[in-house]
Amino acid sequence: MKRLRLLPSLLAAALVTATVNAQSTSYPLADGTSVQLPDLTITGSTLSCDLTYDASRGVYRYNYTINAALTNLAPIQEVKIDLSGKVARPQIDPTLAENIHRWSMLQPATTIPVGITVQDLTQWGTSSVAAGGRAYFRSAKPIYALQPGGSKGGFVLESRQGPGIRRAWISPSIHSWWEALKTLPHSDAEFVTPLSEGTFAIETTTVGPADLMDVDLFDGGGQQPAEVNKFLRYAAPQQSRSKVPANSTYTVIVYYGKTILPSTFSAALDRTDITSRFHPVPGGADAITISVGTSTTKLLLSVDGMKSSGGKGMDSDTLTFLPQ
Amino acid sequence: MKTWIQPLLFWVIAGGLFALGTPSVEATYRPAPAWLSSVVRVSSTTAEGARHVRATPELATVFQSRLLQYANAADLPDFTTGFDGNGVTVANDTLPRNKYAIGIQSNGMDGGGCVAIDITHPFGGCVQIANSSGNLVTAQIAREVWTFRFSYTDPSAPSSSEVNITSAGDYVLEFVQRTPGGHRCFTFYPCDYYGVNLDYLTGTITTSNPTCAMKLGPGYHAYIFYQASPYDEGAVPAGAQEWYPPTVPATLTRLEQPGGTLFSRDYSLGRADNALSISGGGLVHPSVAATGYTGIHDPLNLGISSIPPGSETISVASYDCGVIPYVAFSVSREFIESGGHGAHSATAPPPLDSVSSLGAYSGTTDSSGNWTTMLYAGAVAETIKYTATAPNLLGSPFTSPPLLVATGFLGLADPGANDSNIRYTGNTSTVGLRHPSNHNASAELHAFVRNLAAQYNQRIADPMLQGSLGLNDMSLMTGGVFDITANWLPPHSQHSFGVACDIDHFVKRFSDGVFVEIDYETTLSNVASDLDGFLLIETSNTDNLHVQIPESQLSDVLLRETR
Repeated sequence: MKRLRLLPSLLAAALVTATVNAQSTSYPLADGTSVQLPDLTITGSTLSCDLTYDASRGVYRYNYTINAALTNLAPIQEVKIDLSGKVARPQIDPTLAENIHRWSMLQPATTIPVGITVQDLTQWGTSSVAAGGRAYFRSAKPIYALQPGGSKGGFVLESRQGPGIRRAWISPSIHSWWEALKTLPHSDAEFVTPLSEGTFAIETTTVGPADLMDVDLFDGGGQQPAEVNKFLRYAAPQQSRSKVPANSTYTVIVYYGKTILPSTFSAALDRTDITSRFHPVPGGADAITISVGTSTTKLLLSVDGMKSSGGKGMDSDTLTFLPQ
Repeated sequence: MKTWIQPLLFWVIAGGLFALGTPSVEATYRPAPAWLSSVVRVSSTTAEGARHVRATPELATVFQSRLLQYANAADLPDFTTGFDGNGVTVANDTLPRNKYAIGIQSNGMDGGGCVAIDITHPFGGCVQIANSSGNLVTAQIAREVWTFRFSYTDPSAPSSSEVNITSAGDYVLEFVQRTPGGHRCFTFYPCDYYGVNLDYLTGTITTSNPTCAMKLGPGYHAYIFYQASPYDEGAVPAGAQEWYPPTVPATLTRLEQPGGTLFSRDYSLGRADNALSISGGGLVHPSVAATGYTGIHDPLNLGISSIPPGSETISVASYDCGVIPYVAFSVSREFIESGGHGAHSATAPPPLDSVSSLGAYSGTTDSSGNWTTMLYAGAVAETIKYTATAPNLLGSPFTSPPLLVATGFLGLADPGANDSNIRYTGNTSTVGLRHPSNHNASAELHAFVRNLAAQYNQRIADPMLQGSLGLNDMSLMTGGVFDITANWLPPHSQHSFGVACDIDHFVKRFSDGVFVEIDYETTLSNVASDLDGFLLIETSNTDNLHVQIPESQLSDVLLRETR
């Protein structure tokens, strides 16, 4: 039965692949001719992040998974994640786990230091921090690039910096272009615009280590005194009511105060208890992705904490998401 | 024995400044260079018969005098520092009145010798005078006087008086054969005080500064008068001729002439050579149609997908000792090769607009004598010579001095292929010879390609695949369009501002010099990614692999190179 149910999916995938593979673009050359090359569309690919916090080490662990959309026309070769920071720090922190080889250390001193671990070193061990201050995970060879419909996890950044929304870039492999160009008659003609995988690369966002100051965190509003209001703070969203695309997802990044009582934490998404999705640790942070449909979505977060006076206080925030 | 010393004589008549201090002997005087005597004969005897030597005057008392103009005070010579000045010949014997000075500059003066019969023919013999016994003997110089003069006589009024035009009057330079202390000495210097002889001057300069009060036109004169005496001052025998040549007394219309004329030039005072001038900054950066820094290659969101052309204000002014208002003029352009396209620019220069262009090419200066327009750079890095011409500037046509405006990125350099991991290519083939200087780039790119090549060899590991990476085209000397097809047009468009380099398809193996194919798709691409640069496919044959520096380094380049 399982085979029978799987067969239509495979046929559908094959049909999609056959259809999209037929998509190509003509690239003009300076001599007036042009070259037809397959499109490398990877729209719809995502880079998801599973965040954990090791309170004993004071280290955040960002575990990434690359998800290649089934409709992709090319394998995914590489992802890059922005690590630009605000404070100059030593770029190597030996307490952060790392199993890759760093070929260069040319990044700006304000790059957020990370340790990089790649589960599949054979195929994706070509990963490091690039000279521009971006972490990258890259397939070592074109044949290892992530095929459409696949996903690849086990890409970990460890950092002492808490989470924020970071820019990320996903690039396709241009192997098919090389193969196509090799079949052409020899010509010295140049492309009017040089070819680049950048044409089909996509920019997205993900959760990643960030240099966030107090001023960068939204306290959720509401409670007094102010110290109570800081039991729960947010790197995202930055306001109580946020407009988001309908039928999309939103990643809430919550920072926990150092004096919270984790056992008192609760979270409800449109009155559904989702407390278990959070991992409240004093001084830690969580990144939780929620779905937003076509109607207003409310996320209610609450936690008790100890005030400096010795008494208890409760911080309760309601985050409202307005589909657009 | 002659003492060779090299003092400064610096006399600015108009300013009334005699710029000679009395520094220590050590600081001021030093032996004349050895080569001097082989270049300039400063003393001579003439053999006449087997054992007879006949005394002659010095070969010349003033060496190589010439009339020069000096644009600025800094152009005047400073002989103490060995600076002979930046004087230039007075063209057409006309001094533009905006120049700082006109001067008589010589390469030296000698004191002593015999009294010449004819100072313009020093070998013509010596004056003979009667000694105390009544016998004729050669007259040896006891005193000499050089008189430097700038004067003016109005040529429109022949009977008008000659006037000295320098505020301090003539400059008189005197030499005595015997000072009270027994030294040969140009008397401006305290020879006796320092106990030295000074009978040779390395150079002299005497100047006159034109002013707006001076009349334009001919009638100006520059002179050096000279006379010598065989007698010490106060020891002239009764009835003897004291000076040879004698002083010609002043007349009602002419100044006194102290002796003969060693040097004489007539010149005119002309309108300022910048009475119509065109000026501007002289440097703009070219436009770049596509930088390549877009999308994923623009992680910093700089938004620099192209570089707009540089621009600057061009001014035309009509001024000569005062505003000359409402001067109509036109501006012409001329191409000047400067950007490294020499091999083909001579036969087919670029469209001038592709280098730079003006908002307007004609106009009329305003009541203040001013006019401006904007200059816009093109995409080709070359130079244009702009010249303004007025058909009628105070009655006659006038052409301004030219303004050279270079379009280019001036910070690009070529340090050479001074790294074993790289080698230069692409400038010897038929195509390459069109632009033989093809490795000009920003410091960032030169560092990038070196890192790229070094890391490539580290990563490739296999000695059979390690070697020097061939660096092909970077940018031309001052960037701009790198028209490999010699037609002043892209492609190669991203090679125009020193951030891109083509990598050859073959690596020259270290071990035996054999060319092996580069591992582009894996190793080189991985290295480029690590260095955060990017690779582009530039040609359909994939012979060359185009790399660019990361955008994180682009800002520094643009800050330096654009204006």
